[in-house]
Amino acid sequence: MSENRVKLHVLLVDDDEGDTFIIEDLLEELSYDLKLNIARNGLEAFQYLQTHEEPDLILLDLNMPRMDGRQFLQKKLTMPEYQHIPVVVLTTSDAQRDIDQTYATGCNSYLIKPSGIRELLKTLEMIGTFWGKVVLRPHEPEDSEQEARI
Amino acid sequence: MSKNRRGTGSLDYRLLIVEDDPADWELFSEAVKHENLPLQLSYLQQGKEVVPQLTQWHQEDKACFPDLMLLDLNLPDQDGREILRQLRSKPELATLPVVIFSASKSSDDVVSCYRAGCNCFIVKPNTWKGFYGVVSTIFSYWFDFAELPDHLLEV
Repeated sequence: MSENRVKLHVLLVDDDEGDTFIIEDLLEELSYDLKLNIARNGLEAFQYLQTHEEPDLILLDLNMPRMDGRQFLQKKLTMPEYQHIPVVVLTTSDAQRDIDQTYATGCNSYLIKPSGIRELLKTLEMIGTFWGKVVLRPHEPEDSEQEARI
Repeated sequence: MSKNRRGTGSLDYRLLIVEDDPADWELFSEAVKHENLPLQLSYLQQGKEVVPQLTQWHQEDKACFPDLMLLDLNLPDQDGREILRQLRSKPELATLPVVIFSASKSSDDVVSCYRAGCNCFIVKPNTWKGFYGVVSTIFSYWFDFAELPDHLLEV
């Protein structure tokens, strides 16, 4: 019964069609309902936010053309209407300098994008558990049962 | 994915808990022991101690600087949002990940905490089992899974 399943609406911002295709393919395997919308760069992400229902979470790659992840975060800091939407960076770079600079630009969390399918599935499950079940999101209904069900 | 903390040789992560109720400190301490987590806990009871203590650690005692901070939203002396704003305004403290811990589920509180710069907002469970589970999940996500900023590097 899908009523009791955690539901998470995510805007995935990533220009790599191969990566996003794999993630879309994994949606059925997840233990929760992940509603995924995709933007290919920071500019498209803002266009999406302006014209669609607000997501619960933004999953953000760093290296994208036109407006990259850090530029998106910098611009988001100047827009009060989107301040409250958490951004989890999901990217291949594990350089500490990138991690530090990205936190300094206001990401909520930084995750390394794994290369294997099994690891990617684990990553998506952890995202669902933490950001879908444990963490209270801005749009959580006030009467929801937000006890940690781990 | 434990990272060796530079300068201390210790493999433990440091968690700073800002909470005025010492009974909750006991719960955190018990949870860490029960779940066998490699976490060193430090506690502050008042909001006004947070920025001075973090500043002192950053300048003089980097080994004590936490990897993550759990902050009670409703401290008697200062609102958690004000503490967050102060932290985010100081470059040397601004990247410290902060988890807001609160009995409140009000969406106004949640939205305003994210706006003030918290990394995430967690409701305090009201059972010890729920408490242990949340502490364990916070550890799994922030220390085993996510990448953390490095405060031991010079800004």
